[in-house]
Amino acid sequence: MRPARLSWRWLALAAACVQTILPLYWAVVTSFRRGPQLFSTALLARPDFGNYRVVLSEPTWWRDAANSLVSAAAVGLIALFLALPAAYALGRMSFRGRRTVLALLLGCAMLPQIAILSGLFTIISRLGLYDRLGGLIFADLSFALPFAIWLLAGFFRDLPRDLDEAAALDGCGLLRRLAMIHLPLIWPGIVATGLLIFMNCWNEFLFALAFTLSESARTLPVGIGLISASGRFELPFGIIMSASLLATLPPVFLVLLFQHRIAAGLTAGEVK
Amino acid sequence: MSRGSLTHKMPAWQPWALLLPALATLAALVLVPFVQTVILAFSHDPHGFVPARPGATFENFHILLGDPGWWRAARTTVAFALAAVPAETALGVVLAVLLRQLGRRPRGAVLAVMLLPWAVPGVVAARLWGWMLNDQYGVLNAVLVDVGLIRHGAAWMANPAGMLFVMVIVDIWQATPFMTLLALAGLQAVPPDVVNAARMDGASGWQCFVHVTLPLLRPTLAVAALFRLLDALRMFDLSSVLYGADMNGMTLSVFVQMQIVQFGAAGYGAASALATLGVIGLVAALFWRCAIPPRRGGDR
Repeated sequence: MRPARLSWRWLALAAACVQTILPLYWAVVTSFRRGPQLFSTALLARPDFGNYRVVLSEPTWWRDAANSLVSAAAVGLIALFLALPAAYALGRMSFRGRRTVLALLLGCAMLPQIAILSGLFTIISRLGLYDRLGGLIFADLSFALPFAIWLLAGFFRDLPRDLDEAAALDGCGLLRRLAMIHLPLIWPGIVATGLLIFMNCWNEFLFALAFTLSESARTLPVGIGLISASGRFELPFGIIMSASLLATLPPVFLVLLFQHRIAAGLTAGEVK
Repeated sequence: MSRGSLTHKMPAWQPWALLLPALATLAALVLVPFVQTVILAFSHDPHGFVPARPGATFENFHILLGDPGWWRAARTTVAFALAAVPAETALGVVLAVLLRQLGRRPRGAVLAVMLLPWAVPGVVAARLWGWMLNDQYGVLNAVLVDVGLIRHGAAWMANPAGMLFVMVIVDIWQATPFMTLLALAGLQAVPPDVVNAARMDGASGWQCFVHVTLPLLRPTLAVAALFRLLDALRMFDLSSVLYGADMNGMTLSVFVQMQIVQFGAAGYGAASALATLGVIGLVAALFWRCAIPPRRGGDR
């Protein structure tokens, strides 16, 4: 009786995995096809990297990719740099107003982007950052920073209390304590936070669409979203799918490589 | 007492000094733009990229109340969130229960595969599903016709209900991994002793799950679903990429973004953004009332 029930469970899990993979698989198949082949519904295709060659020979694609990489990395680094001291204070110290600050941060993180869109638009234009990568980095920080503080504060709080006391007794100052004792210990948490921010910014669409106009500051999602603009019926699906898959590779690699870290970050951020 | 010794040595300004850089940045990034949005919402808006004239007027909100486009987007958004989130939660719990019975190694591998859709950019997900559900060349229609389930290819995204349905399907594909992960974390926090005790008392596996595990899981699930709900209510990518400026599949975020960026109506856009916040707050509050029953007197 037991093997039968086990196999039923395996079947359900396999179905779930197939369901997650199938759309991605179909994208790969489509990306290998050109011309009339595109409308074939055969489930297999001979690998043909022609579409990828077309995409990768476009200088605009490379610029989009560079913009995505630079903005996501910059937002991640700036957010971590600003968030670490704040998260230390919120996670390791008890002071009046701590809960209020935490609640405000959560509010900021959950605020829909459109609620600050008009205001950001005015500020970014006034700073002369419209249609510049700097403007996008500025805008993306508005959701990345509260998220980073919230997540890191949780990781700091999970460290044992005795650490501070032992170090304080040894005459270790605040900054040295942070740098020598806590940072090495919450290193995995920092990596998880950085990865999640990087992926969020890499995938971000609303701000990237609103604050960029020309190719100079466009990111990959905007580039892919705009391919439709030319015509509704003659869409180059092979090209779209190969460009989409190329844009999906970095986050997918990060998930496969750092699955445990990312899972830990996600659960830590939401459950507490 | 040990805590007292720690706080004793700490000057009161120290935490605030550490918080200052982050909080100052956030004030510039979130608070100032939000205040600006509020001010814009109550100013005269001539539309069409002409700067709004400051003033305290309810003009924008008045127009909004009579704007069928806004009401339609509100209906679409709420229907989308209320269809997608419960489905994702239920699926997440089922998958988490199945995953829990795997060993550590296989569980990690399956989880990694399941997390993939969550890592896919929303724009790409919209593109992918839009292609698969294409009425003429989509693979789904071809397969369904081959199997004999339908005679002709269906135009999935030809009517408002279909458009909503497609967004829900794509969102389920993308967000279920997230709910699975959180449900799994919740399941692992359920003390096995409690479940074992119920088993000893003769409860069946199903009874244990419904009467012991699920109630213990409920707070975790409620919080996770609330976060997911807040996320779904501000959904932008899918609607924008799949349907562009088509009113039939437009969500509130797309509506507001269009007003501000395409029509240059900063004031009207700001007013509709505030109204959107109201809708989100209302739905989230109602959800929370339903998800967490009011505490009984003796509980705390």
